[in-house]
Amino acid sequence: MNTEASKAQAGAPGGGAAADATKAVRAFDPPFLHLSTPPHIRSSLTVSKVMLAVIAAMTPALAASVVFFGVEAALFPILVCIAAAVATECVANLILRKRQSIGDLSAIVTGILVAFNLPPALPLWMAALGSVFAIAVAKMVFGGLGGNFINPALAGRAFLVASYPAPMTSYPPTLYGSVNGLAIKAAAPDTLSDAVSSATSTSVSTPAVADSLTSAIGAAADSLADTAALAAGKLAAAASSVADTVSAAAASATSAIDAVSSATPLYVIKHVFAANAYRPGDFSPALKDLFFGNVGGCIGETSALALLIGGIFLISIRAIDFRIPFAYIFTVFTLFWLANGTGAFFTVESLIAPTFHILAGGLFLGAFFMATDPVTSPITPMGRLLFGIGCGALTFTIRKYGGYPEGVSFSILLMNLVAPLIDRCTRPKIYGEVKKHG
Amino acid sequence: MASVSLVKEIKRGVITENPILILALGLCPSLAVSTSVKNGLGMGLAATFVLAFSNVIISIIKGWIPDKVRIPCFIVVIATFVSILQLLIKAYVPLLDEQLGIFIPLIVVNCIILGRAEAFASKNNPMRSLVDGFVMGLGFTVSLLILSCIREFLGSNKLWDLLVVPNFKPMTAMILAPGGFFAIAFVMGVVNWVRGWKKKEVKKA
Amino acid sequence: MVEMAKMIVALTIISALAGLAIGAAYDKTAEKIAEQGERAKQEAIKAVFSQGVVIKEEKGGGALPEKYWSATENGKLVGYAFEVSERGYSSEIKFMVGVDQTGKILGLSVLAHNETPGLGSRMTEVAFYKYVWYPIGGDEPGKPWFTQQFEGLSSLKNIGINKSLGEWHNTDSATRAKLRERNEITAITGSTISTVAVTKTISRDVGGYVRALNTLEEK
Repeated sequence: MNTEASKAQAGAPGGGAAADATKAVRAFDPPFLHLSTPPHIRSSLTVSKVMLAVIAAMTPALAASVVFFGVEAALFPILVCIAAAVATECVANLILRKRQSIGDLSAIVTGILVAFNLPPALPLWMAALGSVFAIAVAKMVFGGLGGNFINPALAGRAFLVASYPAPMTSYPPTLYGSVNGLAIKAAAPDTLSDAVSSATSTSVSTPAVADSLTSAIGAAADSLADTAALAAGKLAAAASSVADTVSAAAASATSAIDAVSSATPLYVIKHVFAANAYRPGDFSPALKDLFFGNVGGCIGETSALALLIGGIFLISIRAIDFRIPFAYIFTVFTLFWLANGTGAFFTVESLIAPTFHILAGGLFLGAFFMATDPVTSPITPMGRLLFGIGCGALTFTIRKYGGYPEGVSFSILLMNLVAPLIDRCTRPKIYGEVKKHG
Repeated sequence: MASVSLVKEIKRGVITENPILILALGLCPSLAVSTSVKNGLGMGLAATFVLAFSNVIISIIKGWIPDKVRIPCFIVVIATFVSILQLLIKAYVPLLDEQLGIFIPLIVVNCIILGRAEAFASKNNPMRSLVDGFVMGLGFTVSLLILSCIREFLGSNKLWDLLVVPNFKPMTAMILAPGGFFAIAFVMGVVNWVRGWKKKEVKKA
Repeated sequence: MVEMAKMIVALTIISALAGLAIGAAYDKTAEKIAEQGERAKQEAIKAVFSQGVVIKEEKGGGALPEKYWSATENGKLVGYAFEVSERGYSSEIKFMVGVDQTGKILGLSVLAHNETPGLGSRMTEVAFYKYVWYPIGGDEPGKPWFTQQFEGLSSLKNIGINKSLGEWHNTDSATRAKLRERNEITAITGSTISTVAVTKTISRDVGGYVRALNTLEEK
């Protein structure tokens, strides 16, 4: 090595010290020591790869939605939402004169998630509007991917619920006829019998209701936009006694339910079994339906099984942290177990109510796909646990005591707002950091 | 001389120093009242009335107000005019009273009025204060009208309570509180964008 | 010390002058304001009856409300009007109900509410409005469909809510006749609570008043 260096030095007397030095260094350069600037650890994981994984994880739920709601009611809104999201991001980047970011596929993920949060058979322009709002206002205005402070898909859904409350809260039944999977008939005699006996209305005798139902079917041609009539037609055969007792309750109860147009399982829990005086035994027939997906609700949230498959896939490839979904689901389960209707805690019966609640509504969808959005959830492990627990507690509170039947979207949005605070509080202590006081 | 500067003053009040969109004063009543053009116009005219007259009175008595209690004095004068305004509205335009409700008394704490009193009327002669109050009120009304048009059309498919587009399902969120924020943010964004252009033009020239 | 005195004097004088000004304005407008209030009430009551009735205020008490109105046409008693209010979904809904002696509802008119826009607020939604392009001429908007469907129903019986027929303004006259026969109304989609508040109040309160009036008359 020395001889080489001295050779170089000797061989270029007038070439300038800098040139000599460079040559010397280059000659000296050991083959396995490369000096370069950070980052030194490279991985082949890119944003678009993560997004692809998420899209793959959502495919079972997508398939389930098409199976249970049909192509027109489920697939078309999904496609429209994706198209609107991508188009909006493209246009927004043009207006803001930024580099086109649609290549990172995050718009597609947002589009799918927006669609998953909508009721099936929503007018397509409404779905597109939600998607446009989600991307333009909740994401691009704040700087694009990584800049949003709340989950864009949930923001889009919140905007739609505020703008079009009636269509956004009317859930048609699945193609296999189930609206809420709950054995209302079994429960009806006990919980609603008081309502029936106290109703002096003559308008709810069975012949009258069957009559109005058949005339509704006849009028369906005129009022096709009225999903109540359509659903009434579908349920007419099986549910005449149900509608009977239900409209009796509607006549005399202060908070009535609409068995025909929007009684998802959670809605029924909140409004029919008032103050949670339900008997857990009423739920067991519903659990199977809830797990596999033959239940009314938003497009993406029906099949707990499909969502579980997707979620476990994402956790296994480390695209999302297991802590948030685990903490979220565990908290909801525990809280509903503590507040279950039976009064006992260690019986099989006491587990039915919490199981029902983690399978019903968009809990799996929210826990695996929306609460885990890396931009809007905390970074630290402890923070993520707290985030999941907070979401769970809020969901429990809204479902049990709040005015809405479904609490997932609002609880995630609220916890998104608190996430930076959680991050600050759970900042890891640097080793050797001096304590401020003593 | 006076008429030329009136045009300039109007341009100042409506465009270059618009209270809502540029000075960002008086946003609370704007959010609440811009749900329909009728309400927006009513509120704008009411505020202009109060602004103009309170500016004049404050300018006239500015010599006698001790500096330390000037804010309470301004508020008393403004509140007087608002009370008179409310009585007049209740007597002659009760529909507006119903629609605007509590936002008429809230004109007292409208930052525009107190702001102009402090920044302008207490330092200028009555004539100029009157003009200033009037043009600021005009600017307030114009921007309220713009906001109300946007919100009423998008939120209830109406303008002045008359339907606009057949078969258009309006977005109710626009007439609720979030819609107010979105509308103001959007309009302010456009205004700032245009101002950015103008600045670039001035720089180039 | 002098400064303090100056401040006190200035504030006092300004406040006194302000008080004078407001007092003068109040004097001038007090009458007109009272008139407006009366007129609004009268309009509301007239809205629930047909044209050409004469309204008289009656004093109630006991089973009847403090104030109610009787309507006569050509000297004959046509009916009564009661102002009732009930908590809806997010606010008190105040409305005026006009009934005849048999308890048949002649008209309903919502006076004040603060329900959710797009849902409960559709109680005052009119079936169609005029367009901004041709605001003059054409048909008048008419009554809100929600209140119009109560006409002809009996307040003495329970008023049912029928959810399978859609909203009233979309039904044909045969369906409407059937609804009237069954003493039913159609609800506003998505606002059952507001609807139920109205029907409950009518059958409970107004029905009670009519019965009380009938028993009084029998005596």
